[in-house]
Amino acid sequence: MSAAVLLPLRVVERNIVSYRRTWVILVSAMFEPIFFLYGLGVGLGRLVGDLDWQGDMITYAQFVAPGLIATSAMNGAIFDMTFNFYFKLKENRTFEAMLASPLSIAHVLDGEMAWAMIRGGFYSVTFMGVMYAFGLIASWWALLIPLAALLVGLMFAALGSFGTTFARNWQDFDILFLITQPLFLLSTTFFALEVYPTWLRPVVQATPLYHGVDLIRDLARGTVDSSAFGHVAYMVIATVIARRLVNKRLGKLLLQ
Amino acid sequence: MTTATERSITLERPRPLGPLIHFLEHQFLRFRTTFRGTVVSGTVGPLLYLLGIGVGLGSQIDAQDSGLGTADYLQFVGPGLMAAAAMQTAASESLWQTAGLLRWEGTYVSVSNTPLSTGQLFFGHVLWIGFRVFVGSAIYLAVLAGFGVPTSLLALLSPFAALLTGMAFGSLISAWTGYTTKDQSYAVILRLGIIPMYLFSGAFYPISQLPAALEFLARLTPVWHGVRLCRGLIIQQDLNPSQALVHLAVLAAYICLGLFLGSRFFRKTLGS
Amino acid sequence: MASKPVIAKDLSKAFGDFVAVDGISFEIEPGESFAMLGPNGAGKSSTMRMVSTVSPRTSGELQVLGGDPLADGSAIRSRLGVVAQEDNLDAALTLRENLMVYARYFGIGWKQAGRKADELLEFARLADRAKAPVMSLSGGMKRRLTIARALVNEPDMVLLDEPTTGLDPQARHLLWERLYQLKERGVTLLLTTHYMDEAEQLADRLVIMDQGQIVAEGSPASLIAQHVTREVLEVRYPADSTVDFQTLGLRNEPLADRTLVYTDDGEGTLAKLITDGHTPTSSLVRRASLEDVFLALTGRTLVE
Repeated sequence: MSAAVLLPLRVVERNIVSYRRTWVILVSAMFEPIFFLYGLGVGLGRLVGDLDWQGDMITYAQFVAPGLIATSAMNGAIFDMTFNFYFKLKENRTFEAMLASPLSIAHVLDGEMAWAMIRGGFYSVTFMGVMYAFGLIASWWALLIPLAALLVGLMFAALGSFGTTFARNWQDFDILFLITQPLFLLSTTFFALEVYPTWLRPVVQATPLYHGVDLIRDLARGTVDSSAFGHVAYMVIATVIARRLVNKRLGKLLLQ
Repeated sequence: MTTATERSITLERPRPLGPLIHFLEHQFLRFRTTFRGTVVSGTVGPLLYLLGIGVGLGSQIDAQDSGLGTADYLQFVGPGLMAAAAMQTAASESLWQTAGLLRWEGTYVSVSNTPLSTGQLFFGHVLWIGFRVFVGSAIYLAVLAGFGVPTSLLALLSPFAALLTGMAFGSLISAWTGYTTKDQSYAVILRLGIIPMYLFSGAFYPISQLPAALEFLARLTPVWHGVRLCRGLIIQQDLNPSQALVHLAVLAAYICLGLFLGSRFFRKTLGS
Repeated sequence: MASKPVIAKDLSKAFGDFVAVDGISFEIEPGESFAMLGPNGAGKSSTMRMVSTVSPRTSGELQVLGGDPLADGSAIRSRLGVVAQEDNLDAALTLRENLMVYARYFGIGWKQAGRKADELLEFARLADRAKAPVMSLSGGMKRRLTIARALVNEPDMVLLDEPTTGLDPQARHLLWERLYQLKERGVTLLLTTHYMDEAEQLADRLVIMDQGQIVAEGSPASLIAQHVTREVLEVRYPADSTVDFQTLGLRNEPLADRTLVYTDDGEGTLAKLITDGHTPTSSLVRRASLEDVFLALTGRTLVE
């Protein structure tokens, strides 16, 4: 294997070693979808009632669950690539220590991203299991959901770490929530695009999380069409650009 | 300068509250640099929440049919979210940020070498979290007023209810941060503590919709008491003075417990 | 009686089963510069934290500035200056603000705190950076600012835990110079260090600590005179050599890579070894130091 693959693996390995003792986090991650699906599906579901999705009447839980998978992929990646990333960058200086070894910045970054993806994949598979148990999956297309969630995670890992390189202190993370919260709330996670006035819909469609939510909802309901290509293309391009920018920023921060 | 011999004999006791006030001064000075960010995120955040959940999702909910007892969903969810947000703010201030002050950056280690006692330090720390929550809630109330939600001047008291909710969570969670060096547990607290409380404590729907056991659990959480107080004060929905007193007493009890544990754990961390 | 800044008797500190400080007794005189020398884990920092009143003692007696740390913590702290081992300046504030905010904790008014801050920035040679953020400082500057901060309340005694660990030689010398100036002003200093040259530079009197206990006490010169000879001859021989210093009547300490020979006349001893046909591959004659005292007392080196 080439260094480009092998060295990032070192970083993943280090993360796994330091993570081994923290299985509680992984277990706790499994409860999150249960809380959300139960809390929102049962609680809010009773208030909202059934909704129309591409001609089918579906329960609120069926509507909201795919949105929550996409959101949790976003949150997982953001968590790893912001708080933890910042901690390693500023407080703990793990990166500086790693750079003293033969690892380059790109390797470290790829390793961190790969790690975020492994965790993200775990979350989304768990979430799917819970969805299945709640009877919220309607199509074989749903088997592709973890891949779609991975793509969402990858995109936000890149975007999140880019943002983090600008953080000066912990307080600056308020800004992060200023961005992720509206994405969480407004990316058709909780209500359909049709609720927005017509002029606002393109704005929503331009935001990153929307593409993940819509793609995953289509997969879960089996209503996949050509729009899927657009969603995938958007996420791939956003990831590539953001990753390039992070690389540049890190070079500035660590190698001065 | 006089010689050490003369001075060392007379130890004066500092004014009891002095150091606590200086601690708050210190926090204000730190806050100054990030104040603008707090105001912006404190305004934009709730605005989006109210638009997304209150208006957007609310458009899918028929408030009359679903027994919320309010004209629309925004009226119901808006006041509840004030308390839920107080909990969130307090939790985020009490985990990584507190660990930073207490361990990683050591700002609290340095002030523990001044006349400030550990008890005062922890109390000041919790008061400060309460103040942050209060500022956020006051801004939030203004946003709510923009939506026309509050129904009387009693609403002006709601930020104080949020402050107590924030102090309850601030003291309890900071106590935990003082107790453990395992910062991985912070994510667990958010996932297994804060998120379920957020979802099940009556901010989004009446807890009477939950199964009896869950409803009982929800009543035990500080945030449910905060939600009840905020909603009662902002839209005058079924809250009589004696109920209000019970809620206040419960929040006060949680704060006392948190202060008791927190000052012990902080003392232990700072002394080793 | 109460005029002694520190009186410790059978002082102990235990964390669970681990005994960090094991029944030590010492007294510090007013205006004295007193050092605790020992390797990492000897119990120096634990002793420091007990004296600074933040860590309660497990047993024994301790009096600081005439008060009991357990009962009069706040009052004692108001007369102490503490420089912790790790820099804990407030990164959210500027240099001047760091000093002013700290001064406020001691009940000093804003105006006076500002004056004090300027005066101390001058003392720390950081006046030109008053408005800079703490993050922009080098390690040595941070230390100087931390020491300046410990002086805001014009303390009767300053505690310094490993004040120059991790600094480059130049920064260390500048720091020593500042500390020497404090000493000249009559401030009592209590410092821990694992550098013997630091103890020799700054301490009037010191205790050598090892595994929670005091193994020797005295002035640097008296400790050297008491436990080792005036000079030390360091010699290296090839691995297969069979020089037996014992039969040559030389007091020695074999180390991994060389042997230390204790003697009052280094050059003379070396010459004698050569005439006897034991020419070393390399040799060095130097004055005996506290490092040698520690080695002689514990059989181990100070810095591993």
